[in-house]
This record gives sequence, C-alpha cells and structure tokens, in this order.
Amino acid sequence: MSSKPNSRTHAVQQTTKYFKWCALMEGITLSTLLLVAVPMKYLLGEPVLVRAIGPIHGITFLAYIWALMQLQGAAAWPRRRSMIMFLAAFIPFGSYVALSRLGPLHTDAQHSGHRGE
Amino acid sequence: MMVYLSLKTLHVIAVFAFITGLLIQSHILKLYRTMPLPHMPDERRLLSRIQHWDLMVTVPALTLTWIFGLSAALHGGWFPSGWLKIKLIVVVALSMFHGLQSGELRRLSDSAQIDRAASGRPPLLIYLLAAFAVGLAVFKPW
Repeated sequence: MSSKPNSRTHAVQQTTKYFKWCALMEGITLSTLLLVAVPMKYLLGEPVLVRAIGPIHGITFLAYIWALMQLQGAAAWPRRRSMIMFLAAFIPFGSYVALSRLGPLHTDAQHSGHRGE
Repeated sequence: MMVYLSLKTLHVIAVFAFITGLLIQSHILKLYRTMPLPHMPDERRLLSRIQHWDLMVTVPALTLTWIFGLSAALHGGWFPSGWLKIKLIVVVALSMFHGLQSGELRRLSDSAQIDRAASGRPPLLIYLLAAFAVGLAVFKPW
C-alpha cells in the first residue's frame, strides 16, 4: 500500500521509542550487575548489590522482552530479527547496539510477503 | 498471613483483568484475520476502542499481576518451588503474547500499515496456558 520505502509509521515510531528506552534500561542494569555487583560479591564478599540490582534487572528484562514482542507485532518483523534482538539482550548494551546496526526500522510488511511468524 | 492473602487476592483480581484483555485481543485479531483489507471505518473504530482498553486496563493489569504475584511469592517463600518456576515460564509466554498482539493491534489501526492481515495467537492456546498456570498455583505439585 505504502510506496515510501523508508517511511516509519506512527505505531512503529512509538513502539521503537519505548523499545529503545527499555533496551537502555536493560543495558544499564545488566552492565551494573556484571561489571560492579558480581565482582563485588565474589572479590570483596559483599552480596548487597547483587541482591539489590538482580531483581531490578529481572524487571527491566521482562519489560524489554514485552517491548520487543510489541515491536515485532507493530513492525511485522521476521522472527529471526526478534531472535537476534533477544540474544543481544544477554550482552551489556548488546540490544542497543543491535538496534542501531539494523538501520532505519521500516516495516517488513512494506517490502515482503514473508510473515515472520 | 493477612498480608499474603491480601497480595494473593489482588494478584487474582489483576489476573482476571489481564486474561480478559488478552482474550479480547486474541478474538479480535482472529476476527480481523478473515476480513478483507483495507478495513472499513467501523472496523477501524473497533480497533481503536480495543487499543484504548488495552492501554487503560490490560497493560496496568499486566503490571499489577507481576507486582502482586512476585510480592506474594516472595512473602510466601515460594521461590525455591518447582511449580513456581514453571508458572513463571508460562506467564512470561502470556506476557509475550500480549506484547505481540498489542503491537499487531497498533499496526492494524495505523492507516499506512494495512497491507498485511492480522496475526495474533489462537484464543485456545491462551485459555490452555492460563488454565495451566491456575492449575499450578492451586495444586502446587512440586
């Protein structure tokens, strides 16, 4: 229908914005957990930060997964792309980097007949 | 004990609202899958109403389900139990379905994006997963 290949619809723009925010939060909490809290626990014997950051990271990870699925639905992403974004969440700021590497998030629905479900 | 029961009650109320919203999404997407594109104004209006319901009721219900559910599990000391770990996997899947369907609804109600039919998850799958999660919480088998 739409003839503009790089046009990003309102729905995709909104969900991408929310997804980026979730990716940032997920990246920050994962980095803090891996680079600060875990070394503190095992090198200094101080588990307080792991106990504090662990649940926060769990919540941000859930929000990230939810936002990823919403973006998949809104932009009609193929499953493979969502899987890359899911795996990228296990590397600190991986999801944020992966998202920026993907380039403009034009919807796949505009270009192919592949369902991606 | 009173706090635990209160958290459990609030969790169940939130679950009702969440599952209702999830099933509405699923049934609407199933209906729209059979409709020719582009949609008529009345059909678009229904999508807009569903999206509004999702934003005002289902998303807050999902958030409260997680908050009260995790609080109740923490308070009741259920985290080491096997049934809770399986239930967590099931509810993560249900939350993911909600995210996916919510995105689909957004795409469908967006005028520039009507070149692909609706998707969504079959309502039966959602019923079964929800029933399984309830069964685990009631029987606590492991």
